[in-house]
Amino acid sequence: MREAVAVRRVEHRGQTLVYLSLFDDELDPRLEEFLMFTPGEGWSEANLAGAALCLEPTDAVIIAGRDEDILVARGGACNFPLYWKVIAGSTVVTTALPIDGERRLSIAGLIDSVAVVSVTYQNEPNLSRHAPLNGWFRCRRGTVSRFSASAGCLSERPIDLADSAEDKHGRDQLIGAIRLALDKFGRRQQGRPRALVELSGGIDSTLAAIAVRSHGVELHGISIHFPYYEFRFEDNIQLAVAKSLGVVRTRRDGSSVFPYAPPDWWPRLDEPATCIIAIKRDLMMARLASGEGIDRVLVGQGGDQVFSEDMLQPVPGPMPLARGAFSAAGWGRVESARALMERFPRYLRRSTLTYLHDARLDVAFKEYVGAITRSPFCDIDMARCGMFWARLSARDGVIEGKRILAEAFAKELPGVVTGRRAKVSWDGICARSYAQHADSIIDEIERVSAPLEHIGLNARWLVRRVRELARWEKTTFGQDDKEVFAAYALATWLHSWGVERVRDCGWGD
Amino acid sequence: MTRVWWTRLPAGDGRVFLYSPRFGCTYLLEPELATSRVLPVLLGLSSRDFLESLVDPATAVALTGAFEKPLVVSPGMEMERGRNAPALLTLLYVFFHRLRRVATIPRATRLAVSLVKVRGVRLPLTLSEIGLRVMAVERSLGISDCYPRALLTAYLCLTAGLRCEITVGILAPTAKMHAWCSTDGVIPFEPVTRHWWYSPLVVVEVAG
Repeated sequence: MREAVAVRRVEHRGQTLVYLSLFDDELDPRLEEFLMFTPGEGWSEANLAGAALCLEPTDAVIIAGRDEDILVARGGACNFPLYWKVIAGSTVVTTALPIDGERRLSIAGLIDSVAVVSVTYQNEPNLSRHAPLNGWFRCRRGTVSRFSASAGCLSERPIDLADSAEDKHGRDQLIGAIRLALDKFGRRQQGRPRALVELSGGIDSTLAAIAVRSHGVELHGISIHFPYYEFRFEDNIQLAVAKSLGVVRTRRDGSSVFPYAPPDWWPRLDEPATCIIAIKRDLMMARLASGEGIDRVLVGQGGDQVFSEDMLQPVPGPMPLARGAFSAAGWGRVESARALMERFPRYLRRSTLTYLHDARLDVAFKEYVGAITRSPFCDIDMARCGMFWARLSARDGVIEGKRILAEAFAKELPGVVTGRRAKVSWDGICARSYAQHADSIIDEIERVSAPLEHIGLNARWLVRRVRELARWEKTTFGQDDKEVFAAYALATWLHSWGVERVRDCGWGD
Repeated sequence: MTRVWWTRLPAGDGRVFLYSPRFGCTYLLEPELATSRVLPVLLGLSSRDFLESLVDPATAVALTGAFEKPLVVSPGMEMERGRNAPALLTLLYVFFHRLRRVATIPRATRLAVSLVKVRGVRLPLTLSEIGLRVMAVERSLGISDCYPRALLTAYLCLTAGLRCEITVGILAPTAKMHAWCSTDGVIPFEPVTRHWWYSPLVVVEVAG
């Protein structure tokens, strides 16, 4: 187990339960709450699947049983990796892939990390079990998995909030539940003297700040400012929110931390992650926090997924990728990966919470600078409120999005937040970032072009596409550039592990 | 009668965006070309109507959230559900939508002015009535597109004897464009309020 992941062990009726979370200071109350669901007869796959509906989505539980089986429940928004492999007749479950030790990469695992960008919000390639290291497999998020020592994974059951009992109450009860959930989030932060809050001016991060401040935590705000037409109202909103909360605010120029801005430090992630394109911005925030002696950056991630989107609906199915971005062999692998993903539509359900927040950089940040993100919308109580809201909306036939949050916190939320127009489009930022950082993106791709082509990508096509994006000949972001950001994540990952030539490591499957 | 105010919008890399009302296209040009005397004339832009920067005439939206992303369903909207949109409005919307290369803004507004004159009927429509009619057309057709919406709104404003402005803007430096029609600073209907993302390239004043 890696040190950044906090662990507690509990023995019960001959079984060992291991609770894992990245949030050390919250570990005990989280474990205590989960243990309330301990079944009298001991843990089985079925009763763990029931209890896992109350597992914090960022956490995981491993249970080693009396009958040689191992049960793993991994929350939908789990922010640390979890893999398994059968080694010498024993199933090993780990939070860190031994990449440097084994150095035999899996082409299937790596091409899956690219193919997965065809699915909206599919952060970690959860639809695939392949890991990037040969012979290792993913413990899927939002899933209870049962392993045997000799045969590996025997079965998987999704942890789907849609399976939870329907709440028959109405809007007032929901408002009460949302207020309780936010208060619980605030209470869990009250041990620390200070926290950094991302002051975007949106409702979600403002609520995170309100909750924590009401429990006596001193806040330091950070706002990212862009000097562009579409952002012209944002600065005043952020300033007004800071004033209203009584928060000291640091204002940073966003154009210096555009997507793809190369950082001065690269993490060694267990697998390629597309969120790496924002590393300079995230690292800047984590360092700012760390410099102030702060270990939590409060954010509002997941708020849209829980309250704006309909949790009863699946995310859109896979979009096609550009054939030109792959070699003939690579395209075959992409197509089989996509076919495999389509065979498991249950993992496309929003109610499995696998789309809440891609916090895969947090493990690396915790190890490197000691500060990580924390959002109230990744808490199970808030996710359950989201499900309640989706059901209530479906019952009434009206979709009101985050209006329920504005209603629940009408007294606490500053008017400037509830009256804010909407989110600003980031398309202009994307276009500018390609123009500004095309050379460094191309450098990253060309540096590892041989292994990329060995995996099945077409480096020349990718470089051509980056140039088109940089000249603004292609500006439909999320569509025209998805192969590029997937390849960039893969290229920087290979580089971080010192794989610049095909012979720098072994290759499997 | 129409007047087309226009501007040159810097893209940020030295090049400039220009919108041609004559051809209904946006161009990303080198600055020498964009500032030449001849090109704007060719694109249907008059030098006397050039402004260093254009201000979005719209500051509010009367009716929102009914088709693309239903945020709030008001009683008025409920009433419109299932009601058939008038045939002429539907026809105009489809014409503006499908033949936008032909139905450029100057041509479409001339057509709208002529139609109002020929029909000789002036309806005392309020802003929200205009918005509800446009929304009803979009709901009956199952199409939601800013360009025909802006032109149809302009036609209804003319029918009601209201002056209006059609604005075409760009989310620079992308190729994303948006068109909207406002009267007295208010857009009668916009399904998702997004006009404020877009820097105005032209503002077409429309009056009967």
